[in-house]
Amino acid sequence: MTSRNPVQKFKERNLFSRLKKKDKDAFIEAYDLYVNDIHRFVYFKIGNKEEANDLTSIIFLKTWEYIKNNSLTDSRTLRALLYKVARTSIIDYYRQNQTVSSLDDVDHPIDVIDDSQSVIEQISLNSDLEIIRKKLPELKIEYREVIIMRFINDLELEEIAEITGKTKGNVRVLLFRALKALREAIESK
Amino acid sequence: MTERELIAKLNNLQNVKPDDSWKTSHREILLAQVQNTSGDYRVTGMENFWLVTRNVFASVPQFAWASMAIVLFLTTGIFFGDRLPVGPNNSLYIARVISEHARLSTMFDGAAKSRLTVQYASGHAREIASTLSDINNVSDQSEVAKLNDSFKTEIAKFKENLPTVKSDDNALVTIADSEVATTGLTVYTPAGEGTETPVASSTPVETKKDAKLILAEAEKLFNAKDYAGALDKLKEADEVIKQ
Repeated sequence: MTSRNPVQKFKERNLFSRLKKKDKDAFIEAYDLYVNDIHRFVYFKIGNKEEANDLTSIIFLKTWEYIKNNSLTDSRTLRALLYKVARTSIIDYYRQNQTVSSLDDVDHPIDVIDDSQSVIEQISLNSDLEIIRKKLPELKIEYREVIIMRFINDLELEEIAEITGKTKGNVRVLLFRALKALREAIESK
Repeated sequence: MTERELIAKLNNLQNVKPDDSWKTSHREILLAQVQNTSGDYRVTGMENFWLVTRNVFASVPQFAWASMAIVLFLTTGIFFGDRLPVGPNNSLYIARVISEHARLSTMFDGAAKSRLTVQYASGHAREIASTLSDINNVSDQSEVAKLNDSFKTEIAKFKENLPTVKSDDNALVTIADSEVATTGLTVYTPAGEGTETPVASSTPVETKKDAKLILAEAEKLFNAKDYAGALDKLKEADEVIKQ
């Protein structure tokens, strides 16, 4: 797993400081920096590409509204703030739709965009994706959530703890159980 | 499938990204919406400079800052410590002492080492006397007791390392007994046997003897809490050694 380097962390910290001063340009820079992560998080949680697009738009707008009207003292990082907004937006989405979509959506295949990958890597990726696509929705929501945040979106344990309101130890236990559950789900196919 | 393989597969999913066309169009919409909201604040160049500076300090772990501070402290102590204008009740004093110890431990010439030890001991003793002479400097009695002990130690070092003098290049001369020295005539004992005893002037021995006497007087004055008097005597002892 690749963790963020100190330069990236510094950049994020600087961006967050500018956002505390309600700098609009900083927010657009934040969009460029986090849109992929937030979209991916939403997509793997709700399993529908179109809905993920709409929800991602809503999340960024809600975040800007929040930044504009609050002093941002309760969030340690911008990333954590975005994920918190994303979580509440997804909960709202579930409430409104009352149905939980799955990733097994043949009408909307997932686009994997990475020109640098070879065909073999692309096939391998699609195969991995296929497995996860089918098995991830079988997990409990909280398991799915920590797996996405930790292993797909590469968040640190501290950040996941802050976002979910759990302790670091709880997150570690949850991750262990989530991985075990996913492995069992895959092996039971 | 092992846990490691599963994690690797999950990591692969980091390549799942939204369409570029969607990202671009949504960016434009978001930009328009954000620009239309009230307030038009932008961080100025100067503000940005301060934010960057503050974040640089915040980004580097505290452990790294602490390590850098220690390294800087020791480096300063080792290279410039003996030139630091600090007294024995100052926190930088320890840096100076470390520096002096480091310097002494790297010297192999015994005579030079003794000279330097005397110089340092004299300096320390004078600083202690000077610090104690100003009652405002030290209010804590335990601190005073420590400084008294330190003074005695420094004077002892001073006496122990009073210079031995070479009468010429071949003979290492030891200092004659002070009784002899009082007569003004001194007998030097050469290191080698069978050589004629050189006749030297009486000045070095007087110097040694005088310095010892002066130091004893300084110690007496110090014990009597006449710090100014002790300071004068120490200066006098330095002068005698320099002659």
